[in-house]
Amino acid sequence: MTTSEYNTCVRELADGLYRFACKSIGDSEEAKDMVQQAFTVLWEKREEVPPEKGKSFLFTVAYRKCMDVHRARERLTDTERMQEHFLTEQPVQHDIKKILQKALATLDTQSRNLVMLKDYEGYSYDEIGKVTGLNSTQVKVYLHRARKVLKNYLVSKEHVI
Amino acid sequence: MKLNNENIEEYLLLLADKELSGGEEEQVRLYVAANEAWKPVMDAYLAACLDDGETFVFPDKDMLLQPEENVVAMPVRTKSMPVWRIAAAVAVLIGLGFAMSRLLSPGQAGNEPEVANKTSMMRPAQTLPQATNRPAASQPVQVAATAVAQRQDASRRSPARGHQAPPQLVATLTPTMRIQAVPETLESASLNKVSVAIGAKAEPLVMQEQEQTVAVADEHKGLPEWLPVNEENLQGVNALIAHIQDLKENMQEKAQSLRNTAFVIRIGDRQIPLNK
Repeated sequence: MTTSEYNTCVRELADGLYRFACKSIGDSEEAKDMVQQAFTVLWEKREEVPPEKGKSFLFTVAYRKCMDVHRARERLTDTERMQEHFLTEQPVQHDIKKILQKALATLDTQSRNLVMLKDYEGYSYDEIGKVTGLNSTQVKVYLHRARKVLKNYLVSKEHVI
Repeated sequence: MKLNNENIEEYLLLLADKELSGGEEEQVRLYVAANEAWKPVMDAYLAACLDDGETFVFPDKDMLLQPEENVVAMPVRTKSMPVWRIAAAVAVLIGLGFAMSRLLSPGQAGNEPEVANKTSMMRPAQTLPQATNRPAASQPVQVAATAVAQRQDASRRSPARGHQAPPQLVATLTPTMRIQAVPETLESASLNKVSVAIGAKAEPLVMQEQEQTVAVADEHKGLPEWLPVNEENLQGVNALIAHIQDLKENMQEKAQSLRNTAFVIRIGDRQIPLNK
């Protein structure tokens, strides 16, 4: 990957990576640091990463860092509350989106990341498997399980749509 | 694909994941349309998908960008020059430089005999006699440029030949002068036979300290016998001039390429662009 191709990755992928990090860890400042770290790793290994693999490389790095952050946070009691607060405080959103963000916050970290990789980035089961280290069947099962949780949340008595 | 109430939810999940092909998606939608009970389920699954139009802007993008280098490829010459031509060109250039330095040096000019700047060609087809009594090899030939001196010299040393070389027909040239005089010489070369008188040790195209003398003589007024004359046709000089011209153009082309080229010095990971 050349310097020019790296800069193209920055211009095209930084926003998506930042969205993924924000939604995953629920802290914009921490998400910024994570994006910078991911691009730093990409720059250091640019000789080994072909341009077409830049996106999956960045999301792999970001996914692992998100999982590290969540593992560190598991000791904290109010992590979920903080995430839910962040996810529900998105500006100017329709009600259904607010409800969906709340539903997303109820998912475990891995399921949430799988849903975001699927819906935001449009990855296939195989591509998500490469990013997360799971096989495509596992991805499919976890994703379907997460979809059912989200659907049930949306159609529950409190949030009937 | 056979749809029924047992597997329709699986296909609804695949629909939400956008993993169905166009035909499969159409079949699922037709099945749900035919079975209204599944419509709220399908709507709920589709509503559970995140909106990918949600925009986030990473604010520190400029910090991540790296400076790009603008390297212009050097043009590649399609015509290669043989080594011997390069060596010959270098030798000629060195000789020209040496000759110019000698010409422009005031101290040297005072020690040399008066030099005619031009070679005049007055009459056609004159073959100069070969020198019979050559002077010592290290002794340069000196030809007077003035009419009086030339006539006196010729009548004293070669009375038998009965003719003298007029001053405008005789010129002593350094190597540089010789080349500068060639165009004029070549203009009339078709009508005149040009003779070159060279010192005893002089060799063509080899720049030595020994002076080379070019003499053009009239048909009726030859040079004195004592003058060592070695005939040499100037035919090769034309090719030499063309070659020098070619070299000059090549050097201009190289200089132009270098002017249009940006350079970057790389020291480890650091890149220092060289600005003009």
